[in-house]
Amino acid sequence: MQSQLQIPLDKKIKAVYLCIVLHTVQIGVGIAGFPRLVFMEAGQDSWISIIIAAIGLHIVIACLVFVLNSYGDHDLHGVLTTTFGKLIGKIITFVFLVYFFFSFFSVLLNYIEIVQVFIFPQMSSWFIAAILLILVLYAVTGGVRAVVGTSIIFFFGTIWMMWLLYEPITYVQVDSYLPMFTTEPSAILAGVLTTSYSLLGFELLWFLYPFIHDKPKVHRYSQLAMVFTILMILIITMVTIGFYSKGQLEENIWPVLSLIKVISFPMFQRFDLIAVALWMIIILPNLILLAWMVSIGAKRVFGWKQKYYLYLVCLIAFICQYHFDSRHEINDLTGFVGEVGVYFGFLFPVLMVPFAIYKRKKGKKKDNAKN
Amino acid sequence: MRKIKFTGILICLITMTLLSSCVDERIIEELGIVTVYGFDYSDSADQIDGTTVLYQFNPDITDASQIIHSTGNTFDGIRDNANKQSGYKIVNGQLQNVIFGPNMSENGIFPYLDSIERNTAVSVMLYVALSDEPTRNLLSASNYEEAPNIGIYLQRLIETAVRDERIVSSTFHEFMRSYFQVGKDPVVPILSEEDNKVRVNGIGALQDDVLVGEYTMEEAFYVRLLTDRFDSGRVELALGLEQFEGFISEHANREQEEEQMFLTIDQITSDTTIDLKDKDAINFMVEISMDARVIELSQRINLDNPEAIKLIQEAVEKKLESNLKEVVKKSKEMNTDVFGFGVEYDNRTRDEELTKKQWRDLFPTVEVDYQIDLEIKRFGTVQ
Amino acid sequence: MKRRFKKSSYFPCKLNQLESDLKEQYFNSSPDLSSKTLNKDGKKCIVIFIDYLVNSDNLYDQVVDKIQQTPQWDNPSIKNKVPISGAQERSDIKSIGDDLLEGGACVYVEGEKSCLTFMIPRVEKRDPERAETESLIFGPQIAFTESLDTNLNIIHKRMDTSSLKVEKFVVGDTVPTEVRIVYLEDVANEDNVQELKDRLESLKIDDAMEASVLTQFIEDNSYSIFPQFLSTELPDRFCYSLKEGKLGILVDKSPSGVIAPVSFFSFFETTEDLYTRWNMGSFTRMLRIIAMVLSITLTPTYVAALTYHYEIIPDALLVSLGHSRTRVPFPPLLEALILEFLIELIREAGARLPTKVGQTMGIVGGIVVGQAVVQAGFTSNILIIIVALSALASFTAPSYLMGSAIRIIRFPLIIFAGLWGFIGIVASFAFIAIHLIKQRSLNRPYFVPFYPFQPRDIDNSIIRLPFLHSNKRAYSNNPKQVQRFPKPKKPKNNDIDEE
Repeated sequence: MQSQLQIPLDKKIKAVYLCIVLHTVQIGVGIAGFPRLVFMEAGQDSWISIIIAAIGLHIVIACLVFVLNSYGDHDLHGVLTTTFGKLIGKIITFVFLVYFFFSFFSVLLNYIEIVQVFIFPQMSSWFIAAILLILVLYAVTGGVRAVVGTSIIFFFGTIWMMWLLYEPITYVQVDSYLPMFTTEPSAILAGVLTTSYSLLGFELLWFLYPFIHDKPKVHRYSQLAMVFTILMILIITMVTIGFYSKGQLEENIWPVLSLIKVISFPMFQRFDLIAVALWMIIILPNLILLAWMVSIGAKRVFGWKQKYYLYLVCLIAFICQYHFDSRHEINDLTGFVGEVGVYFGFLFPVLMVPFAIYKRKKGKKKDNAKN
Repeated sequence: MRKIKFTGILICLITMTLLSSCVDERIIEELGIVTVYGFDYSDSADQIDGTTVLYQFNPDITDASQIIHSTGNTFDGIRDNANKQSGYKIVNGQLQNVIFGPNMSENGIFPYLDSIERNTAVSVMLYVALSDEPTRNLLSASNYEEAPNIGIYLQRLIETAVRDERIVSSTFHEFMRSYFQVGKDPVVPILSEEDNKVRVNGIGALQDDVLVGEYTMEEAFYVRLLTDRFDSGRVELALGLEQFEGFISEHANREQEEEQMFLTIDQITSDTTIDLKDKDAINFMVEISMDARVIELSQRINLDNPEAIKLIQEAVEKKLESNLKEVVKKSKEMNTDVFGFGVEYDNRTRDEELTKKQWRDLFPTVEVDYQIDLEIKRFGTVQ
Repeated sequence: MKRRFKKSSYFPCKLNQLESDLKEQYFNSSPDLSSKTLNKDGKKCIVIFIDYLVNSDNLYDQVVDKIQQTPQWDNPSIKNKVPISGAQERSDIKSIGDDLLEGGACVYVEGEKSCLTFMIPRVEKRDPERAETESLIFGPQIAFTESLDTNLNIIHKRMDTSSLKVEKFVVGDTVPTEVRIVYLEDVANEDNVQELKDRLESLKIDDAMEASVLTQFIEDNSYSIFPQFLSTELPDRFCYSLKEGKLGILVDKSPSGVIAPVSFFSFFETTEDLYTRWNMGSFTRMLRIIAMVLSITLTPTYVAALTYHYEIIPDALLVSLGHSRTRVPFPPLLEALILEFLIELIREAGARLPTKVGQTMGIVGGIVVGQAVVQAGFTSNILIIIVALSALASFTAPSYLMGSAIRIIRFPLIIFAGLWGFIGIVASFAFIAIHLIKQRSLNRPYFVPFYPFQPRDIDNSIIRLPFLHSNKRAYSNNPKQVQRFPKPKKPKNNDIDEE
């Protein structure tokens, strides 16, 4: 049986931070294009899809936390090795890590593309990748505290951008939401699936759990984070749908960024350029948390030092970005990661529940035997 | 160890700085920043004549204007050809208006807007406008007030008109929105030149992106009344005089027997709802509730009397209704639904999605009823 | 330099020999060693001292005179008669030499087994004066001086409490310097105290020089541009921090006290914020923080906008910017760097020159050069405004070190803005933010109250609440007692006109 992770107290973080950390890892580059994707599936009834996905998400989080709570101070690797034995546990964790790496990579590629489309068409991708990866390296070398801290500071540094929606809201036309409840159930379900892609990221909890100081509060704050994410996605989607007409929205790859184009301040005639640059601050916590997950996960699976894995992750990402440069390739990769993510993120915790129940029963028996 | 890594990162940054100066610079004084494009059909070839107005920076003269004429097949082709005649790099990031000449608007303007939509550098808040004479003449008007060039002047002109609620706003975003929406047609302001100065002459009714007719500025009020809300609108109405006979305290000009009384109301706030009453007959109900203030009366009417006020309100309501009917009738004749009746129809008929073509066939048969509820709240300082 | 000392007891010896041995073995034939031989009843006694290190009044009145009045010359009776406390009996050359260097006088009666040293040091010091670098409009103006005694005296006067604890350390091998840690025993967190003690004890350096130098040795990250310990010359600031549960470090021969642990935002606080009313205090505090942000963003934004992002310039500004830029022969990046450099030149020249000349320098540099630069078409006049504004803003930081840090990080930011536009600016900001998050001050987080997020600590860092509501010490210092004083009872909630 795998020994529990021993983490010194001063490395641990408070559960409250989960509220923001889980939220920042979910909201990222995807939100810029999400309203269009869900609209293309579920039309003006997208909000139903989002709410259904939200309910699913809350259930999955409940399962996830239940599983983690039943295993004690374990991360994903610990949970898997206790349940399935060392070899299988390590293999499954490794598969997870590959998936996390691909999510990391797709965030990187998507942001590079946004910069090239919106600000600097001639800025080379390797260069943007290098900037981002250096920042990721610098943050992750600071350990879990710096990683969590970055996402919290960057969250506060960008959450005010929600106010930018105020101006687009004045352009919203109620007609766009009508007629309600006319979408086919199958289309709504397709919308649910699309929504669930962009809700991924909460898998972070698998690795962050042992680092949390006050474990009983984990569930409460994780659910709160989910509520927060859902609300944000819902608001942004509704505003976007109201802002555009149907055909217009379907044509626009990044409707949220285009939406910001109507904003102008006395000192900045156009705010969209600044917003796209600031988008870097929204996606950096994504990258940092994912890189941290992959590196610490790899350390748990293979041993060796975490920082070497970190360098490796950044290096591989840097080299691989050369091979992805067209819209279609990036789209395919992102779509693939999302589809796979539904299994890893949503299905896996539910599948683990029976094992957790079994483990709890066994634990109780042991206790009884002792007594 | 940690410190060494930090310096390592620093060194990386510095080397990268040296390596990459590959971003193309766009320093403002090296740019020809375009404020307005005008498009006309070229008479000679099957090409478009473009008029490009750009900033010309020069500290010694106050206005900053340069006009370049070029031809091309596409929007970007015109920009590129204009660039051949200029030492500046011509860029569209500060584009304020796009104006289409008479021949262009009759053949559809959408193809030339595609480039704007694709290009993220261009603002979506620019105004799309039509001109009733070749834009080449329009843009060479030399009186553009204090503005640095005519592009900025036109932008201010249209913006003031929109802010004063004289016309319906038609930014690029709103144009595209209506264009893509089934059951609604875009409206654009029409500009014309007089005495070397450009003015807003009316609003154009488009069938998708083709100009089919024009509303005068007076009719524009009613178009706006049906499509948008008023916060501080203003309208001048001619009412028949005989109905106020009992209340007129003194005739301004007794000798001349007038039949009409002019009434101006302003500070109009209005709220309009369009409802589909009958799906099969396509019968709409338009409910308008308005508040307003009387600012001018051409006859002295004793407003102490509540009866008089009621009478004025009723008369105004009646007049507004008849004018609205006129405007809608005109639209039906032109077959452009700038009011968005089709959107309401589409939203209420759930069974199948409306197509643009279907609505084109249906719109001329539409029946509209009105219910206007006007409340005159103030009369200025005179009773 | 090798010094050889006899291991066995040196005394008794001849008087002359003691003097010459001291001179040769310890002082390397220094000419500064003085001596006076006294005779009484055939007994001889020598007083050895270094002229400029002893207080000559004390030497003659308290030592030489009293020895001569002593009836019987031997160590115990001399010790008894001389009214100077802390007489030491020394029996080897090295300790005698050490005492002499610290301003002692050595008295040896021939034939005795040891010699006596009396400490009568002469201390050159100035009186406490008005604070110069951290000037205040309001409140106590007294500043620390170079003398540790004076400084401790001031602190004890201000904080007359038994819980004030002063611990002594000696730092430096070549030049031992006295260092004191000052804190309130019942408030300060023990881990912090222990950490600071460990750092001072494990410090192996030749010379501490000055408080700010010592700080750089014991800081958490010496590579960072941001200071992690706050040095102040104001005793009231120092004492206020102690009351908040922080630790103070005083270094002999240094006119500044050092406070640790501190957060990033401590550098934007002054005690004046406390002396003025709470709303004024909050306003000025936020003003300084906004000034800091403006100071590092304005010029980079100008450079980025003019080099890459002409789209964002408002059309009203575009014309005047364009007009003034047409005459400038440099790209915006170079233009901004030149002007920033010019401002730094003026500042540095003003700082190096004597006060009166310095003021003239500022006028000449600021007005004459600025005017000429624009007229010559060297820079655009809008940039002059921006650069002047950001320079002005950077001077609002009450801490000189933080102000300098802000002024310096502007340069890389301008360069990045000139190379990569807004992407460069945002990336730099992200880097600075991550840096600040990783930074620690005495192993405590540096970026509180934002991370770790302590909403309660926003009072007393970003803003200042009325004292009635801010009766608690900052959580981030982890003080033993969180409460400073019991919260005053609210008056009974009467109705408007009720008594």
